[in-house]
Amino acid sequence: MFTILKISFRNFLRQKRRNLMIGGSISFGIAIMMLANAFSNGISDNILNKMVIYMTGHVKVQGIENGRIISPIFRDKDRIKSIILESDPNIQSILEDIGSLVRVVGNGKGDYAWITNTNLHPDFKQLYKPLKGSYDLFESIKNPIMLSEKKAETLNISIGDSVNIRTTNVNGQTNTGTFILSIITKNKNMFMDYAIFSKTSTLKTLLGYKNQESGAFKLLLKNPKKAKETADNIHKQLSPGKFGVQAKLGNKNVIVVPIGIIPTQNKLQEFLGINRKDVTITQKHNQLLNVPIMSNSLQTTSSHITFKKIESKTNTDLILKNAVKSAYSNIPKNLIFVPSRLFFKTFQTNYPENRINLTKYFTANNLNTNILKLIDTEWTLTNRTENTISFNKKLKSLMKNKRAQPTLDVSSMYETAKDVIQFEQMFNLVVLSVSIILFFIIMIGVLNSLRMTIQERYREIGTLRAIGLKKIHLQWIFLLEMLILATVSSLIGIVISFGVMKGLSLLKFTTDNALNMILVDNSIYFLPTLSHIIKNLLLVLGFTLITVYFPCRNAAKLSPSEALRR
Amino acid sequence: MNYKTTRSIQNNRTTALTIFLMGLLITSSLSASSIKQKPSITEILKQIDTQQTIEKDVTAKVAILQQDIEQGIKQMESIYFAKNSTDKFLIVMTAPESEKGNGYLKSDEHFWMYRRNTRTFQHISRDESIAGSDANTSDFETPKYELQYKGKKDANDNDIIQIINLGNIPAYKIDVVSDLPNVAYPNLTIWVRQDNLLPLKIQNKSYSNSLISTQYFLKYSKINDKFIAIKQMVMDNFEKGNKTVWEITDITFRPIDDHIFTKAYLENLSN
Repeated sequence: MFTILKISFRNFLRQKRRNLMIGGSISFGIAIMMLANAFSNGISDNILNKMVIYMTGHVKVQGIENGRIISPIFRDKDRIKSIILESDPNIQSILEDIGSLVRVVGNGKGDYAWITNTNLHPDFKQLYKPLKGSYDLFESIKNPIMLSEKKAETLNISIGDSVNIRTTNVNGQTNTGTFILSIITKNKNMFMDYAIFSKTSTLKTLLGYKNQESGAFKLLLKNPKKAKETADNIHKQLSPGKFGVQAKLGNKNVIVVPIGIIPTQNKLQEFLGINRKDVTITQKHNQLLNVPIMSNSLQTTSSHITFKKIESKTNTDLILKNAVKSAYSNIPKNLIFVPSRLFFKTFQTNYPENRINLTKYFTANNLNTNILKLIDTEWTLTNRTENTISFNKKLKSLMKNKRAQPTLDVSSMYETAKDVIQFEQMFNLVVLSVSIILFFIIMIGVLNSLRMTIQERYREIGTLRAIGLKKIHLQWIFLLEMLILATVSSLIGIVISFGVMKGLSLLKFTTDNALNMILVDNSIYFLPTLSHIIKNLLLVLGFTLITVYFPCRNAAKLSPSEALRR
Repeated sequence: MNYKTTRSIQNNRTTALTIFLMGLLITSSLSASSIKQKPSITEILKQIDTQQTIEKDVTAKVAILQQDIEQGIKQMESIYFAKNSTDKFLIVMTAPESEKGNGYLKSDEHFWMYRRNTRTFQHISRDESIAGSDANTSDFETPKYELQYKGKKDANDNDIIQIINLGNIPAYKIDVVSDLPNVAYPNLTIWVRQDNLLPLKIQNKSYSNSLISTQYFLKYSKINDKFIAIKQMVMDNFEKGNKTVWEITDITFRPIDDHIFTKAYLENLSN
């Protein structure tokens, strides 16, 4: 075998001009494939891992109250976070996403921006390297901000300058703050020029979030391509339950529950023993309005319901007015049915410490579960959407829904950042299609050259067969020669592609249009990977092997006399 | 004791009595006036609401002049329709040409912005700016100061009301605060006239108590026993140098058909 390899290698070195031509074509082909793969991979990396994750995350979970989609809020962030974390092993990390549209005023100049929080993760620091200022300064001061070179120029500010920021907080109130510019960055892409970053704690104060509250959750996934499946799994886990608040009415222990949509008059009578004329029910949504209902066996003169807030452990009041008492014996005597809007307005802003799972409570106490049907769920969950159009429709309906009961929404980047993802997919498809066509045109040329090469060498084949070389050995000599040629050419092609990538990434482009998405630091961004190198190498070697195998086999089959005659 | 002495003593007594009586009169009139005229903050807020709340349907022309330090002067005109009994209003822009046909509609709890060029409605918040000016949609709502705000009180739980002159107009100055959601300015300082409790000046302050803007009520008109601030100026204290003046003219109280307060009507206007 070693002799065969030696002969093949000698033949490879002997046919310099011919091998240079064929090898050059193979090198060019593989270099094109490498460039296309690295370019396409760079776009994907830039869009999925540098843009989308800071815009929406791979998956986003948000809670909406009163139709304020611009200010999502979770009242008990730890609880929601733990439900999300348990729902899918693909979740790598969860980031609190706090942000708001703000008016920023610098030195005599004002501009709009989107202020958002940063957790100062090492990846973030790597992505946003300070041009001026430092992360040490950012972390050491109370109200720091970090913004782009372009934004600093617009606001006429430099490091150490203060800026005033005005915004609307989560409660719909105007709020202001003074911030110190501590980092100016040169942003990797145009989208980030609009963003201003600050500390999570600082932003929470500005935007009126309490300690246990959070904005939306942005999820980073181990495998972003499986974002839809992960979003579906989280959606399943967030299926809402029914809960009540443990409180005191005077000195009696009670459970306050939200009463939602009244199915029919009969149900109201059947389940609660209440006549429709005793309460007000909205015509539009069939909801109980303003009147609490309780059992008349709950003997008390107090109208003050007190409960403990999770935030400060202090007690807060809910005053009951015009309660309707029911003589119906099936009503648990310690349950107080409060109209849904009043319930959520009270208990969402003053999140109660002592909550009770009503499904378990009803089962444990053998209570009439029909009553449970009238009680509202802890939140409503929107349906999952397939694309941006249906996602936008969902957002519009959420805006119109002014209910105080929270609505939870789960979306993947394929809905929230569909346009960007589509751009990435389309661009990758175009680049890969063009490069594959080019590669095959080159390889067809190579194939013909190889066939001709073998045909030109029939005399040599005849001589080798005449001196006693076996068919199989002859076949191996040619195959190995071509494989050596293909391997060497491919390696040279790969080295050339790296050189071209380096050269192209040194070129600077200045553009404000959508093509900016393919640029990083104003340069074309290539991301070659080892898997691409191996795949391309195997493709070329496989292609060469298949191309050469049949002419070699045919040539080896010839008798020495026949080969010499040709 | 001679006549002169007797007379002098009588004169002195008369003078003293006169001074005493005058003093008493002034003191009693002052205390009477202060007792009579110094209302509670709740009363002031209630009076502001009552005097400015028009129950009837209103149609008026509204001219907005905006002075922006970066964008210069911008003049806008609009027609305002309001049906206060159902808390609906519609603002249709009539000038400049770039804004003509655009509109803002409030129906139930929803605010909509209509763009003529794209023929689209966008759901907006209460604090959405009208055509980029400092006037926002909530400025056109019926005032609800009494419901939304509470007065600041001293250590003895008394209302803090300062009696001052604003220019040469005797006024009360009060600070009020709101902890309700969706109240754009949680802190206000209000100056009202002492004689009729109409607001003269309001400082709008943020949640952190920073001054955002100052609203001056430059001219009132009394129509059907209601006071309408027909000229107002809003000075931007956050971005100093910006100001907006709005003037209301051609006010009528004719009944307005319900179909005016619909998206279809606003769309048809563009046609």
